[in-house]
Amino acid sequence: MTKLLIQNLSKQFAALVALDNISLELETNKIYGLIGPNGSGKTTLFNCISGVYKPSSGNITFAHHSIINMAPEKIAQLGIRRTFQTIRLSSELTVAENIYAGYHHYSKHNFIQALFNLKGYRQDEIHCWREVHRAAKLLDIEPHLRLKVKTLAYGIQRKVEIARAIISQPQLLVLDEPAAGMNESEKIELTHIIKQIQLQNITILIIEHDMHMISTLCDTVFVLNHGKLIASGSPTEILNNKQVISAYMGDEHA
Amino acid sequence: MLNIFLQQLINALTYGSLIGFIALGYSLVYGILKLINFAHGHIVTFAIFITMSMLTQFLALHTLGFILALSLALIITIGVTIVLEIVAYRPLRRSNRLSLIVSALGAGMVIENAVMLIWGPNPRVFPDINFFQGTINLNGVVVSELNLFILFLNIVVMSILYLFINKSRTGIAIKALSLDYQTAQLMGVNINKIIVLVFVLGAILGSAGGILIGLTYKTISFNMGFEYGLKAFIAAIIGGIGSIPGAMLGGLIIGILQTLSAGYISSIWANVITYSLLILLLIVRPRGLLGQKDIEKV
Repeated sequence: MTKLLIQNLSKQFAALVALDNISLELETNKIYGLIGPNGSGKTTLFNCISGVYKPSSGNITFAHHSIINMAPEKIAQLGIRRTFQTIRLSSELTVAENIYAGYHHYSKHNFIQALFNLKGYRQDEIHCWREVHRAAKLLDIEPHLRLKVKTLAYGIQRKVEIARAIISQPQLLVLDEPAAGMNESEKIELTHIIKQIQLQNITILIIEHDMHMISTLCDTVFVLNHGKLIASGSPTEILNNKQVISAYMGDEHA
Repeated sequence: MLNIFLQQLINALTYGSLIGFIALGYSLVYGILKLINFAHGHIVTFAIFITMSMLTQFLALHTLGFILALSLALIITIGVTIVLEIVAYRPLRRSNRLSLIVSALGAGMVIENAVMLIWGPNPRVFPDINFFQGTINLNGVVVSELNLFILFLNIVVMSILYLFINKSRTGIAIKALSLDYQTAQLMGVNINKIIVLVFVLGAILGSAGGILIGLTYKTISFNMGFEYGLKAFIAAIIGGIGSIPGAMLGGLIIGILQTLSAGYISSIWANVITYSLLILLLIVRPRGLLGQKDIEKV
């Protein structure tokens, strides 16, 4: 079943064409990779999907809603959550507090209930903590829940960001270079975690430079170069695609 | 001797609490928008005048009239605050910080002049209400019921606000996301709603302070927002801007310094003494008493 459909999407910044007539389709519960040299438009595409940028033309449909004119928070509420190339967490707050910021939209209690610790608040609180623990367990960061983010290693902070994105049970998780700055063993662990997330019925789209990780994880890989979609297919097909090799290595290697 | 000192202290704490209420408005808005809302003091003036009008209108109804007048005045002030946020701040949210400050200053002038046009340039007298008029004599120290109410309200408001920001999930979401609107939006938070909520909260606290100022000091004028606003702004900075207990603490410190230097040295020198001490304090502790690190300079 189609989860996200991108049709003829273009994004132009003044004279620069960042995305040029991109069309692609993501199906439910699969893992997709998005690769391409630096500046090829990968993050721009993520920003269009999550509503940060309004596309210049084309359409994006998610779960039968056209989302190109939606506010970012509405898109997030529909079930698209993402992480960022550079970590965006609140370093002064604890891991648990950061994770529950992602759940804000789902809290049902009001201020009065919270103030007087009424039933609605207590129930909501129990539910919320269960969700925080579920997300933390999946990412294997439960022991760090009460620690401030700034005291944690970079690899763990990356995982906190993913936990914040999945606490709301999104339908599409968009990961922007989740393994950047991680060492080999952390990358192996992350690969395992992403597979676990997929089992929660979540479609995943990953930007990643580590080809080993991409080929272990992804069902389908899309390749961008200069804003154009130059190839798509299984990881093996992509690794042997001449156009892709020339985009990365230069023409003489093709 | 001791009695006089205690009397002064009570007056100082009352005055400080009133400044503190207004300071909370600066601190809350700064905490989320990194904006010094220079229109805040004038919003407070507006709240005082509209409350005065409403009270005069409904005074015949006694307690019910007081509640009605207060509610109407608050609703109108909240309305003005929301319009201010939408018209003067929201369009500039992504622009240069300086444009926002200029916009805040301009909005402040507009409100101040509107107050002058509506209620006239001459000082007015805030109407009496039929409660909080008694005094309590504690061993020669006279405390008015209004003073007690102000101190009581101070503690209640501070506790509620502190719990709201630190314990409620909305509060935590505000804190977690206050530095970065874009991330907040991408996590499904309607940032416009939260920003309006913070402005409204600040306006309500400022109005409470303003109305109590009217009740305590009686004489009000269209340009009082400047003086009180400036003092409250300084209080917020002294306490550490962005910090809720800090705003109140800053207010109390200003109250104590002003009242005691006026009482024991000279009222002419009160401002000089107060602000010299505060400058010294900021030299020693630039981010304020309870301020957090990484505060940007404004």
